[in-house]
Amino acid sequence: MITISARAHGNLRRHFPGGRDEADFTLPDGSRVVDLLKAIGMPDVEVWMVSVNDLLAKPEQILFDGDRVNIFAPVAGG
Amino acid sequence: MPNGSCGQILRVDLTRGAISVETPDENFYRAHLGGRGLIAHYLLKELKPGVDPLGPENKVIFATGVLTGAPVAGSGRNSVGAKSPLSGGYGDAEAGGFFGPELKRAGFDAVIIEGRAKRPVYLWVHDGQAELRDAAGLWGKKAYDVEQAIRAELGDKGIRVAQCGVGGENKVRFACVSNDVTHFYGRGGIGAAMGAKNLKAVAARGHAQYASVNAERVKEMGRAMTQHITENEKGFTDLGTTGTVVALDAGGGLPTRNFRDGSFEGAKKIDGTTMRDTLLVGRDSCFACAIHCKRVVERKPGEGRYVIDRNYGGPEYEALAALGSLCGVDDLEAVCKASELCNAYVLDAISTGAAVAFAMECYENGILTKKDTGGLDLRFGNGQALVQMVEDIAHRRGLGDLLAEGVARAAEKLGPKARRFAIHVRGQELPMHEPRMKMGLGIGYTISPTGADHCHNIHDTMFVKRVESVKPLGILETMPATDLSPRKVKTLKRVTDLRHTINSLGLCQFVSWSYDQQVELLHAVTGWSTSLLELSLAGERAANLARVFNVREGLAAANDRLPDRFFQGLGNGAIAGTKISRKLADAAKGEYYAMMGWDRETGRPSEAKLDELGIEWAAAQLPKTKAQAKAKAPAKRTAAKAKSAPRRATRSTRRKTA
Repeated sequence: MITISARAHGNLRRHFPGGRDEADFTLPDGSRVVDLLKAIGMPDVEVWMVSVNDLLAKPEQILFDGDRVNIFAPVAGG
Repeated sequence: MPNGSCGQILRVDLTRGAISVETPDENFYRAHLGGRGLIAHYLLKELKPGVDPLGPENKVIFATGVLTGAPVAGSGRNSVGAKSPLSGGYGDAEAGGFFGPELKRAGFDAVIIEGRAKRPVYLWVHDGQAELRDAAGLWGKKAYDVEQAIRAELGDKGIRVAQCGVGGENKVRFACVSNDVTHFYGRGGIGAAMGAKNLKAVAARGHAQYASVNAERVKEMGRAMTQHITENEKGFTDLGTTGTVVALDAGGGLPTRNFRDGSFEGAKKIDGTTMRDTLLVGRDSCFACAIHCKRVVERKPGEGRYVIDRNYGGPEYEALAALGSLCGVDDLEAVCKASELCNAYVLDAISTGAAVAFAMECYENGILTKKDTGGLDLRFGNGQALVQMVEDIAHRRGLGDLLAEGVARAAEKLGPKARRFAIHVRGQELPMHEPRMKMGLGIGYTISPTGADHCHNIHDTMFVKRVESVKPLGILETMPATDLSPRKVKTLKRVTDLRHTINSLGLCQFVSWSYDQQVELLHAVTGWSTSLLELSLAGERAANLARVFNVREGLAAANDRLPDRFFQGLGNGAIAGTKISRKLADAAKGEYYAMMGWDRETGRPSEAKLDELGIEWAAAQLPKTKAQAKAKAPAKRTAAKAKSAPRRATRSTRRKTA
């Protein structure tokens, strides 16, 4: 099993436990970014992009124990 | 007079000290809705072409929308406009806060201010009355002190104050107008037009209740939206817009070092999360809104390198990026201090940051030297120099005097080598959104009636994965952020038309009212059997009035262009090397013109489009085309139209003297 530290940006935090913006998730070895999103229950259409250890990641990228994942919603600013 | 409106517009002639009231008919409100629509109507109808934006012939117009002050989230919005001292074209800006609803409670939907006072004055509007009062003692004071002084003088802490600030007094071309000290009508330099009139402030207080045809339904909708916000917008409440810094940085579209780069190595140091955990001491809100997206930061004496006054709120995303990454500054305290000074002197933080970033790039390229900067080492990243430059711009001291003209004029004075560093569209500095990441937004910058603007624009990243919110506009398919095909242009056209609409109605884009809900809300307030079509046409009407204004001022299609920098590759970040195709950008602009019913080459509105929008009279404001000028006799159509020109939509009813 691997443990991933994830941060949800914008209003995506509503999909995290307790509505917090940071949480750790435990997944089976070999899990990918898309598996993490499924485990969280975060709809793909709400996600603009994901970074792993500060580098943009594709949905199929494999995650490793201790990875830091940021999940971003589309942003407009203002 | 429809419900939701007072039915009264105040007109103030500062030269003569005369005050009068006009009562437009219901059709006027229905056609223009208030805000931008109202301002565009009056500026086009009443300004002579070519007037000096800083002269007495310019007019400053405060305008609420029909929904401003309704008991629902997002209704604090209202507008102020004038011929822009920054762009020389149509200018207006919107803000939230409490001033707009209070102006309505005082009995007026709008205030038209003309002429120039001999000495500093402020306008006091209260319960259907208005008077001009001496403001000599307020001149030169910072914004919070001005508000406190006016409240003390009039003996009412509930008074709401809109003001131009020291920046406006000194005619800084990007001086803005603030209300309640921390809400900003940011763009276009309207504060300079106000200061040039010797008008320090407008103070409002009233006790009239907002009236709706179906008040219960309006309340229900307000309660439902508040519940939605409470349940779903916690992230927005927590960080406001400031969390955008790291998101855009990760995507490679964070404006950095004067738009040279798209990623900033110091992004995390100036991001909203860092600010929340260090300097944030509170969150502020606007009228009737539960989001609380406004920031409040503070550093008391002895706590840090700068004292930061919480009375001036705190930076939101645009200020964080403009004063931070755009200047290469990762010192959050310095960024917050610079933001506090912008707010205290009532300067547009976007244009201020952009002006300093421009100067920094000129300095690093030898166009400016220490001789010009008064000894400041004006390299990217120097937070101390940033803070000093904001002071100097507000007071027009040294290099600050040149930068106070805006980057376009400053570059003209510094010579051709500086022009490539002047990042603006039609004189207005770009907001903090990278056109090489959001390419439709880049086209939106070029066709905006006010110069580069992100609020009446699209943000392409919103349509990459889903388009549910815009399906009622006939936009059914997702599209890449870099797409510049006709489907993107259609999205730009239809979404932007309705952005003009909410800027007229007085609704905030941060509150997620769907298009259907906007229609229902307007119906519940006014009783009008309205539709999304009618709302969209109102936005298009405002856009066309502003376009005619700009064409009349000689701001032709050649001015509707992005700076050369965006046709070159981004310097770093996740989309490093990405550039916009000039050919595709020109084609998209022409496509937008055509979809608007404008000439594909010149961007001139067609008479048929103006006819369709019910603003036939605006055609007479357009300069003659070459073909028209060559014609010996006026065309039959023109002669016929002149005879049947509609009557002025407003009538003067009573007049009183201050």
